[in-house]
Amino acid sequence: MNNKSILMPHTCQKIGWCFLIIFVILELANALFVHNIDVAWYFAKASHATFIISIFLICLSKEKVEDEMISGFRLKSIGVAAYVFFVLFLILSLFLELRLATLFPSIPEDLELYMSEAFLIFLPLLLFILYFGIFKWMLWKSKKQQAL
Amino acid sequence: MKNTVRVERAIKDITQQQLADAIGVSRNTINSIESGKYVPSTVLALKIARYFDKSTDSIFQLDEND
Repeated sequence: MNNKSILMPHTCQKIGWCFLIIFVILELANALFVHNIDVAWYFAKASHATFIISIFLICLSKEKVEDEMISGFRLKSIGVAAYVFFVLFLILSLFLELRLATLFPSIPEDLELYMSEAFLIFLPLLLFILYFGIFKWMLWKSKKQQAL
Repeated sequence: MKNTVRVERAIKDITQQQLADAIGVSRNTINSIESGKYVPSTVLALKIARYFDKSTDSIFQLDEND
């Protein structure tokens, strides 16, 4: 598969990082300055949307130079990320199935439901984050070898 | 896999960047090939051999472990 046809231009990665900064600013603003619960809800929705868009743009953009070695790194990264993701998914599933509230009585039952919702919405993003982290680590290792 | 890309490059007196630009890959890839960290694809190996005007066998050889 020629991944050059499905990856976005490198410029999109920079736009993605800008969106990530906006997400951090929104989260900080929500935590520090917003006291009205309705306004906080809107801030939360906006920050979640910017976070999802930033992850999408950062992870699915080309590097400055794309060649077959980079494509190889991408393929290996996806494989390792999938493996790590499913191990984490298994651990988290078991944790939720065992009913968090019964294991830790001090945690309110509402939190268990919240964790389930966060689980469903943000867990798929974890796969992208893992893939990007592993890919960047492989690139860094390769460039470090070049510098030696 | 062993290769003599570095030797051929020295004979031709070109930098890794120049070879990378001629082949259409990054300098990082050429460095990885020369240091044995990356095995190029058939197409890339043929391109390198054609650039140096040599046969693929004369530049790339199988290792004992291969």
